[in-house]
Amino acid sequence: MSFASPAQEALADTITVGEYLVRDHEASFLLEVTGDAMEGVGILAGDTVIFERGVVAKPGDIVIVLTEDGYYMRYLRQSARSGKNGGAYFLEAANEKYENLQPKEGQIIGVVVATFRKYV
Amino acid sequence: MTYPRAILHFDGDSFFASVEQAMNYTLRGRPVVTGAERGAATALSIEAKRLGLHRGMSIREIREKCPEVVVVASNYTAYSLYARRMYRIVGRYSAKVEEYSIDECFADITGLTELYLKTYEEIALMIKGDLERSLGITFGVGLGPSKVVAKIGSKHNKPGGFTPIPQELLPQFLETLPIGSLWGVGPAMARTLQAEGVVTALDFARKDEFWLRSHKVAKPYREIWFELRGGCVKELEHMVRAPASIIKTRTFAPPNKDRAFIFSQLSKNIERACERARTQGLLCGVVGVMLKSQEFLYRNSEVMLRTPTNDPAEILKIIEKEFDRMFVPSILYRATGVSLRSLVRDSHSADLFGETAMSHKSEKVLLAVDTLNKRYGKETVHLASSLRAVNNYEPNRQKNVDTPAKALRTTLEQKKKTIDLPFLGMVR
Repeated sequence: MSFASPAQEALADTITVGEYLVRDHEASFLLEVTGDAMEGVGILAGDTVIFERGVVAKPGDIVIVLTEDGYYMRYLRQSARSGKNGGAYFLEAANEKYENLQPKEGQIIGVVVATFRKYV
Repeated sequence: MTYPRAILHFDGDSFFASVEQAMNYTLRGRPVVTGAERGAATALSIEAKRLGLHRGMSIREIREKCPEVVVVASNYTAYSLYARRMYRIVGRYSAKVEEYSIDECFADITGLTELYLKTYEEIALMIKGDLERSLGITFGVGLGPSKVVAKIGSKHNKPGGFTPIPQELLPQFLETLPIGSLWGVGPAMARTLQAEGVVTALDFARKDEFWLRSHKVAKPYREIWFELRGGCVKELEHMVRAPASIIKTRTFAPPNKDRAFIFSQLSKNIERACERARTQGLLCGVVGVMLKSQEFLYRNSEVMLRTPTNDPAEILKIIEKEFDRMFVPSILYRATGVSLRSLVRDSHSADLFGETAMSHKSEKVLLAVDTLNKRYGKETVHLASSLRAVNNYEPNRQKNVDTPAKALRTTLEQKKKTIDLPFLGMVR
């Protein structure tokens, strides 16, 4: 988009969708969802997610993990403090079909801040 | 640690190759070389450098020597997007940022220690950390009392290094630095100085003013000399920011359907846009073309250039095919427009003190054109393809209508800036 067309000249009371969805523009990137791992929270195949790099992820965040075979999107969880693996971090899908994953050092590269979908 | 002025220099490590690796995870950890489209390496990833490959090698040589290397075509749109992010991140910390080239910038952080309650070293590391976390690529960073010294620092410990060089440590850094490796000292000047026994940067710094005068050392080199001694004379050119795009449009009356006439209108717009790009030292990577019909129907198209340029003749050659695809002979047109985007600094012209100068014939021609037009007025010299549009020019016609539209375009461009995010692929 580079030239103003007449339709765009009536800009009033608008929300810039990009600005609404993005928090730190300089650190934000897009990924397209394949698969149904996060179906339980309504993130479906074909959706686009915006993730922010360099954010310290907290348990409960939806994180982006980069492994040798590509990007994964999961909830970051922390097990209860008691017990053998108490306090350990793990990655959980929002779909019972999937098993938990163990994040390795440096694999969590960002946190999902927004997602969008088009219908037409 | 003394810094009368505190200047930072940021240098993206193997920038083009690093951006390719950041955008495509399958390239991580693999030797990557960019420049497939021009047959010569424009950048090499750290892994490729470790194989003994270097810039200046032809792609053919590289492929023969190391068949495992991934050779990709340069993607200047992506590089300039990462460059703009770099400028803006550094700009969060200091208002004085010089966008020096597509993979480098300077920042003046003098006096900011009180604002952040941190030392200059800590501020430098804070910005470096922000850059690397946000972009996923590493930067060499130098801190010094001047631009010349900051640039020595960023080169010192590659990749990913941070080198602070306060005044008191200067001699120890300059001692081992060959005079020819200094920013702004080209091979010819290096030879001249070496002939005078000036082999290292320290040799040069230790000369006195009398020596400089008796050897007729020119001003740019006197400035380098002064900065090597801990002074600071090269101010940051932070006022010149690369715009997101350069747009030239013009309406003509009455509407016209003659292909040659309309193409000459476009040609003239391209010439004017390129002239603007040259005065700002910019090259464009993407050219957008717009045709507006009498019924106010718009046709837009864009072409990605293999090599960024600001030469109108080159752009016209590429754009003409696109124009013929868009052009419908039976329609009356009332305006054409061009937008130059993915603008990057022309490192040649930004390198004020280098001896790279202008090597290509076309660059010399363009310089002559700009000089003539500046001296004798607009469109004294222009391309033959613009002739009909130049003759048809009606001054003041558009002036008043132009202003609000221009303002609107600016806001739209700023909005656009906030939503263009790199697409990295698929996530499971």
